[in-house]
Amino acid sequence: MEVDGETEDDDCGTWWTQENNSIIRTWQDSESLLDARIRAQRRQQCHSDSFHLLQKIQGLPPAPRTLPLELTVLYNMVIIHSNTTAGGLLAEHSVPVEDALSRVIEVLGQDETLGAGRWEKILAADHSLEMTSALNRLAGLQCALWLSHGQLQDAVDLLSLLGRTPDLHNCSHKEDHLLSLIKAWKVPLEEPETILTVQTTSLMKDVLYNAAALLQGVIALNASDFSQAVIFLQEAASSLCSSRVLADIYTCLGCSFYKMAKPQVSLQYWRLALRTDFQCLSALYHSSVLYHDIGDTESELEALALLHAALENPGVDDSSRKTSFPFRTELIVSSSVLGSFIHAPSSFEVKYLMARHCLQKRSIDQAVGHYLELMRELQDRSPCQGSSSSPAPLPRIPAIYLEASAALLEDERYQDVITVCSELLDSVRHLTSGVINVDSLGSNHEKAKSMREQLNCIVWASSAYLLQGEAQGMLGDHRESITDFTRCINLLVKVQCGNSGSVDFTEYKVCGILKAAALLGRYHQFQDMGENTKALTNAKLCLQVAPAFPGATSCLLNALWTLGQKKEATSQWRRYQSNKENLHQQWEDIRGDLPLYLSLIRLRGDSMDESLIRELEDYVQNEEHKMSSAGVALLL
Amino acid sequence: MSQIEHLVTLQSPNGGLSKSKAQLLYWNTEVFICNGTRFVYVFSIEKKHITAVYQFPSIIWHIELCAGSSQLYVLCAQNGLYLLEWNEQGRLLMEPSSAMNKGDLTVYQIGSHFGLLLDPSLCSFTVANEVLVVVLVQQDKWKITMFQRESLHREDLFTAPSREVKFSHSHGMNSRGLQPVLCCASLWKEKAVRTDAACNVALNAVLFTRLFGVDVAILESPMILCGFPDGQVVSFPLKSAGMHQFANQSLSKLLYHLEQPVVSIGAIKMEPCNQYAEQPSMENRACNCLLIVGQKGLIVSVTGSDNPDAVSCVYKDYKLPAPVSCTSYSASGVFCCTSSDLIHVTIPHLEKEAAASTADFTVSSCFHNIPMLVALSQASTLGDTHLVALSKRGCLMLYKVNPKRSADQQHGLNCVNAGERIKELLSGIGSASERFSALKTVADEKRGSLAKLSQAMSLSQELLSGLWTTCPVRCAIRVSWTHMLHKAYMTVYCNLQNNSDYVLEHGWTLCLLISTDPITSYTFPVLLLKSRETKEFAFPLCGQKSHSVNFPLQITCFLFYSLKGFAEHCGNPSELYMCSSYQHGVCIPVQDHVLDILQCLRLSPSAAYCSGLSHTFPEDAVQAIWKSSSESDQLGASSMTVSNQGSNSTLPLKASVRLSAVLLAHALRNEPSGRSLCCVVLHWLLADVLVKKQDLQEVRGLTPDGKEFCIRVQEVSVSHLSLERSIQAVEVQILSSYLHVVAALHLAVICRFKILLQQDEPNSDGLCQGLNFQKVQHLFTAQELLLKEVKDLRARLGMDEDIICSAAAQRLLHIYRDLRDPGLFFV
Repeated sequence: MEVDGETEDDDCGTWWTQENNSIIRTWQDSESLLDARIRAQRRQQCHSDSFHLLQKIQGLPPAPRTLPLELTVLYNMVIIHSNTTAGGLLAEHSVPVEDALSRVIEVLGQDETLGAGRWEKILAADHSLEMTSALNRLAGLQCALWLSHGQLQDAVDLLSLLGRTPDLHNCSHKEDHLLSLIKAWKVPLEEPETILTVQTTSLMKDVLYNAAALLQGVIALNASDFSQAVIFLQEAASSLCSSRVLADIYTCLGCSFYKMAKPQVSLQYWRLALRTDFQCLSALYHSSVLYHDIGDTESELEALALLHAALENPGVDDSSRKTSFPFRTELIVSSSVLGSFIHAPSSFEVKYLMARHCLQKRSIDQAVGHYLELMRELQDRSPCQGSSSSPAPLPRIPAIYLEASAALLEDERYQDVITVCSELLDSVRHLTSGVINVDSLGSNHEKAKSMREQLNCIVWASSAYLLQGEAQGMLGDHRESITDFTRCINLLVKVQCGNSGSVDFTEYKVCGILKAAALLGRYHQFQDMGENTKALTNAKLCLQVAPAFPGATSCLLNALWTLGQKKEATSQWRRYQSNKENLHQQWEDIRGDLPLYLSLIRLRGDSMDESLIRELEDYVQNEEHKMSSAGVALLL
Repeated sequence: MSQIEHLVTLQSPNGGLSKSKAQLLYWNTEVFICNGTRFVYVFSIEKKHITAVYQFPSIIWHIELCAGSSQLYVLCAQNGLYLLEWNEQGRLLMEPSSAMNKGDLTVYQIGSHFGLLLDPSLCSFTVANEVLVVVLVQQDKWKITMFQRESLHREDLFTAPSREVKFSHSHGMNSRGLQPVLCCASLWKEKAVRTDAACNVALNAVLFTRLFGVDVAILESPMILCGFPDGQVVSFPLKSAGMHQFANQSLSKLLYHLEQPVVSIGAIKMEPCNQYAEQPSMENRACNCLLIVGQKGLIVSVTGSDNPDAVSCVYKDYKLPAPVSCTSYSASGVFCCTSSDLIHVTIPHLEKEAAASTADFTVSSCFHNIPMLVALSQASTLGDTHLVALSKRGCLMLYKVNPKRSADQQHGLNCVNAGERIKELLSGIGSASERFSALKTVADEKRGSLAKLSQAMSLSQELLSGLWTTCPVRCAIRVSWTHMLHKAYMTVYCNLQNNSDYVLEHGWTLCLLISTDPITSYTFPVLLLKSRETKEFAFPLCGQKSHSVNFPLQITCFLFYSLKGFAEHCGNPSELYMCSSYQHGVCIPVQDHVLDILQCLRLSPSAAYCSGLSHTFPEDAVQAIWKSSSESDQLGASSMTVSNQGSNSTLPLKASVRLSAVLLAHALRNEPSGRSLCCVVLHWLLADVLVKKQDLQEVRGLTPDGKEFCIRVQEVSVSHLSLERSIQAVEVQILSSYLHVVAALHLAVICRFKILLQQDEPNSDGLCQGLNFQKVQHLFTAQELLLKEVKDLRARLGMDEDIICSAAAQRLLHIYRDLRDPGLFFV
């Protein structure tokens, strides 16, 4: 390091001071650099230099004269280091702080004790002015370290020592205590000092206040104490912080209000967050969730679209921002603490959400478009960041494919349905061999996992066959359609149930519905081909499997009527009439459990054929007449 | 035929190449080599030499080629990711820091301005389509980040990643310096794949769908598979647009946990059961089996099962016998390099679940004993499979493998190390033969020892089981005199005769115990005494003190076999135990001999010469001198001894023994006749010293202690015992000037006769006739009294030390005088 100026004094302390000052100047100069790489290099250099300087100073036994310098250098070094590495204030930073405290105690000539007792001893003693300011700085740093590790009580204790206020109000205003202590902390005036610091103590105090408020707010939010969280977060919002942190604070505020069932206020805050920072995508996401909840699908989709667009075009990287202080809230409160409140889903997930909501809303075109885009992106795109958990994770890939096929089916793009389904089947069919006993799913963990996977694969494969069959049927290829429906049923047969008691299993019910749908599909195909007997068999089976399946009864009636079994048809009709409400209820129950792609199955014939009903009624009436006339004739 | 072609040798870093850092990439007849150093070499197969070398700031961990856009991504350790781009002519788009030309070779220095992502925590990467996937290692987790390739500019080194996925790793497995392995798997489509799509693996629909799920399959998103050093294999989609965490599914999935570091992930096509179909080119075939290879040899295959009832994938484990260092995937299988082998692994197609349990994967070895490979790459896909491989020592080699023929198990020796192998084998043979000979020696020794022991035992058994008389090993004793330095020495010869079938070998010793005072023993080692042979051992009989020898001498002989040597040979403790009870050896008594004075006499030259005498006796003149000297000796010692002589030195003392002629004749009937009875008797008495059969009735000589004696045998008639007539008897007279001589000879003669007559059966006829029994009885009683008196006196003598001057001694001598002349009469 260059030592600028002449050496007036042949003194270590002077040299070290000069060295320290040059480091700080380099640091401050590097702020103005444009090239991110060179800036990073310079900063790295500053760190290593300050580290070496500290080592040099600490190589000698502590002396009262150099102690303030040492503490300041330590302060600078820790802040520089936390700036140059990811992760902010780390646990390893507390080690040099502890060492420095030991040295101070050594100088004071007192016994070595553990942890918190040190500060008591140190602060109890008398110090020079320089020493006092250095100690205050270090105390601030220590508080920051403790806050970053969640040791709030230690910070409280230290600050109360600093403020020399006794810990009187302990119970009631505990929450405010830390903040008030910070406020009460009298930072010694910073005159133009010989030893430069990377950040002044008063600024540090403000940042500390902000960080403490935010931290406590998040803690309260996690603890579901929303009102308290609001108080803290509002305090944080009013204190010194960067816009990004402010946006995060607003986001959290919005979440709190949302949890308190005040949607408008939360929306307001989220908008505020977005205005503060365009990159605060979590706010956008939260708004979309809100819109979804209140049923405003248009706004929701709009929000999601915006979100997707923002994710696709990331914009300027945050880390190159120049207007950040060396010591800032982000160092203390890392993003992992803020957790799920500030995470936004990835672009794939947003896309999926859009597609799904469109499908649910039945805006089929958009849904299809989104699904196809999503599938393409999944195939082509390389992985992006996203190691942390997302608020809206994607479902399984086969489920996405099936939903896409269902959308395509709705959109009458039957060839595409077949393509997508066959692509899915190519992969899934390797995992669909073997019989599954549903009973054993609850037992052994490892086996249960693999069995569950197998069951999933069977459900997916049979769903794919079902959709394919529908599509084929729509295309007019009856044989192929029947083959697909048959394959679907063959797969489903593999799922067996031992006791009748465990029929409540959701997957088992879904399998039942699939079977019924496939049978009904076959019915329709056979009917279209004119093979009415086979159609009747299938209709009968369908009714047997899932009596509540809409359209099962009407198809059966139709089949019976076509074959001329009018008596049978009448009895079925009567049975249906009596049981109508019950069946309807059953179906509604089951329907909730169905996956999206199944619940959209175009159930042909779910509404009763009007003409058939009329004919039936006529027939019944005729029969009654015949009966009564026959009875009358008999009487005569 | 499998062939190996050595291309080039690179300088390898010290300590060889570490396994996980070397890599080979093949592109368009060029091979990009990274061998764990800072260099990337470009080797041209056509030109057969290195054409370019790129030097990077630090050690290279991973390189990847993007063929479509002529880009090479290079990961430097602890540094970051660098990018090299070429235009169509092969020139670098950006100027390197420096370029040196060395002949055909150009060395480029790549500096930091080629850097793309400078992050020291980068540890692995892969390029998948337009995305760059990198793995960063942090303290306790792995972080995988993805960047859009277009968004990476060299100028902006702080690009934010587009996505991040985190995985935690198991403890303790990160320190080995292994890097995660990335693989990009996509769904295979029939339409032609884009040429610049860098997805290395295309799986068929069944496997892809079942493994990764329906959503990914529908979107056809490539999947990134990552294998970590702790064994976890995870997968996550590249296109995760909109796919966040679902209720039941998470984005990244743990596929498998190998529990060992992952070497590679790839896919192959399983072999169908019938192999007759021709294999089309690789691009249009979908793989139906995902393979995960672990470092310790575990291969996990993931297949979509053919079973119509199954919906999940089948994971199967296969274990390779050796740890795997690197792999390369081909259409039909995977080539795995272990430390010594290159093997080709194919997975059989499982048609039925039932057969799956026994179906095994095919592992066919392509090469044996190849140098350890650290990197492998496919070189071409036409016809034969070519593999480029880098060995641990830095050798780049081209293998031409025909996987269909590799089942022939060709054990080809790699020409590079054939020589080494031969050396190894020869040294192995040498060492084996050394060991063998050492063992053989030991075995032979043992065998020899055991044979000896067995022989010894058998011989002992034979010796001990038999009787004395039939003992196969006998020893005979004889005495002879030697003269040395004017002195005569008595030498005893012991003749050991081996009449057994065994050989007395080393280990046997002959021990002789002579009952002199003190007891003397001699041991002679029997070095080798074969069957039916004899050996003679000689020892002196108390040379200086021959006068103190008390005849008769008892000589005990026995054979001793020492077992001490055995204990050393016995290695086995159980054998040792057996030996311990015989701590020293086996002792077999052979024979006892009695040496009496008659065997040790030195006869005068007029009688005969004894065996073994080298020179004749001195003549009478010398004898006279001797006598005078001995007399003087005697006189000198007269105060100590009772006068040995009679008062009259000229008159010899006499002892006589009389035996009935009939009795003697009968007893000595076995002796060769032809002579008079007296001669026979004399010869019989002095058989050991009289050799020549002469007609003698009198002998003179010297006793062992040098005293003169004379033995005379004559016929007499004894009348005092018989009534009618006188009994013809033979009288043996012993004459000497010394009493002790007379006494000793007298005793010896009597003992001899006693033995002789006891051995013989009593001849009942004619002997006892005409005996005056009264007289005999009278004699008996008189002599009984004498005997009693003698016993008493002997007892007193025994107690009383001072015998010389005592009256008892005098009395004994007196009795003896009475007894010796006339002497006893044997009837």
